[in-house]
Amino acid sequence: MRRLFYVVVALQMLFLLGEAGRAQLILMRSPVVTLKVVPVDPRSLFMGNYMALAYDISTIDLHAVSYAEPDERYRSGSIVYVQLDTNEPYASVRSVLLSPPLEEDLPYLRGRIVYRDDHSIRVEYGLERYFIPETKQEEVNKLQWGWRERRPEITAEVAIKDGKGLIRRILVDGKPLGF
Amino acid sequence: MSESSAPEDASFLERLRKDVEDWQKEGLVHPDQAQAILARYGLVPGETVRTLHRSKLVSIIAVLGVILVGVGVILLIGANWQHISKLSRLALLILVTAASYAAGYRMAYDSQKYPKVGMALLLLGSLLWGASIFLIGQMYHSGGGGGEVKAVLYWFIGVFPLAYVLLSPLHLALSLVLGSIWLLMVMSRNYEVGSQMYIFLVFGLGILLYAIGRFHAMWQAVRRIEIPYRWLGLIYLLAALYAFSFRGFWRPEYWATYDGARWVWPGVLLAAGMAAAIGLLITQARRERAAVYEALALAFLAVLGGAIVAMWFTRFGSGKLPEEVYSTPVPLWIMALSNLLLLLAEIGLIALGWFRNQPGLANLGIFVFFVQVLTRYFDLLGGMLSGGLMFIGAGLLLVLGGVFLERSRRRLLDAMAQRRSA
Repeated sequence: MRRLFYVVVALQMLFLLGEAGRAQLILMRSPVVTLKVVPVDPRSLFMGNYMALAYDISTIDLHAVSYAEPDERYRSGSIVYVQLDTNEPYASVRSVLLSPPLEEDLPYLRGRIVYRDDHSIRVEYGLERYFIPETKQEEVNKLQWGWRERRPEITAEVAIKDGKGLIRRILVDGKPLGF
Repeated sequence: MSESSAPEDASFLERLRKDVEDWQKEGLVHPDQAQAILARYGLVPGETVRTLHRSKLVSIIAVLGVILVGVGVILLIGANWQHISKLSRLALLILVTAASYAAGYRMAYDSQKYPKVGMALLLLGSLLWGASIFLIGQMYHSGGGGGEVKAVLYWFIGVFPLAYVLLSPLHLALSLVLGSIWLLMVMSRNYEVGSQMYIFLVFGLGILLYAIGRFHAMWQAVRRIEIPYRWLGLIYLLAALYAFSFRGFWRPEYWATYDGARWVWPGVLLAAGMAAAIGLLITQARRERAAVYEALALAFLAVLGGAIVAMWFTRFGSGKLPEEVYSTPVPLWIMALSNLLLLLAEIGLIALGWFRNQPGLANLGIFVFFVQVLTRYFDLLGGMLSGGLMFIGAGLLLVLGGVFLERSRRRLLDAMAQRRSA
């Protein structure tokens, strides 16, 4: 039993180090794209307060991009691979595929369709939460009220590797948020 | 200590210890057998009735303590405290988790001096491990798009094997709760579901867990961890039956808009529960009469759940509902039947508790009975005539049931007396 116990605990620790290490490597070494952001602010049960983010690549008009026909295959719940054009100032959607793209010259994000209507789909990429310190909540609220009035340009720098994206930082009018 | 053993009140244990001593003196049992009998009730050498009760208290206090610490750490992580860098926070948490595991194992198994506190520390290790997963999710902002759902799944996957390696009911209870939360999160993430779907999921899960618990009870190697399965299964099952007992639960418009895929999880769990109940019936057929009834009841509930799901899906699964459905109230007989089902489950539990000498089961049955009576009383205040008639009908049924039981008991006693005199 002792050996089995230590094996399970060692696997748990390796998992933690592996997850953190993998994320750290993606942030440090993978290409970065800039995405346009639309924020709001709820709270997670386990991970604390966060800004809920949506991106302009979250809603995709299938008829405006390249996709794998027939479009009925793009259903709510389907996994999609969204290939991005890394044009300045923000990345935009080049194509929406149902399997990972073979040519990896362009970065792609793996996402999940959460809503579908006639031509457009809404996709979640796992980039929709930006966690903020509890002590900064009021500051964030003030910022967001300000954003509603003067509509600054909010962007997210996202590091991408093999379809997985991680937020490096959020920029408001080109200046990084201080947390 | 097995739950199937007799009650654990001090007077019983005191008497048992004295009786066993007398049996040993009279040569009725060997010292080994005497020790085995006492050990079955937790009275191992050096343990007195008083120390046994104190050790249970220690266990409860230590577990409550680590739950507080674990929840506190998760809240601290939620606060996203900025005074220590994120990586330092993670390193610290990993170190504390490993230390908690190591100290717990040493105390519970190596030195065996503090087994209860040791087990509680092992549980704390698992809570901190979960907290570490959430910290990583928070550090890298990966809680969105199902990230939190995955984190709960990883936590479950990490803790579940420990329950079997350590044969720890505490770890099993934690992992079963996590697994249930994960299932509910998957449902709420994938589909826009109404409460009915969750309730059927909980219903199927309850049947499955209870049946798995009974299988564990038959298998010596894992008997120690059967209780979390059975109790959690029972709680889920009773909670679902309680939800069924509301008239509003059966309103068709809440069901009609769901497509087939949304019934997958409840359907799979109900089918698995049915298979487990049938397996239980086959394996228990020659053992204990109560176990046969228990397996039959589980199989019946699973079939009933499956039939309701199938019937509603074939009738309203297309999402198109005839207009009249909106103006037609749910027939009263559906509510009456679902309440009767809950009442039967309560009586079954009380009977099982009495038969197996497990007061906990009977108490649970009585508690749910009172909750049901109170709920229906307030529910039916608006229609006192129908409510009153329903209460009187149910009460008369119980009284008649009592008369029937009394008569069969009398017959049994007569038969036993006749056999003795012959």
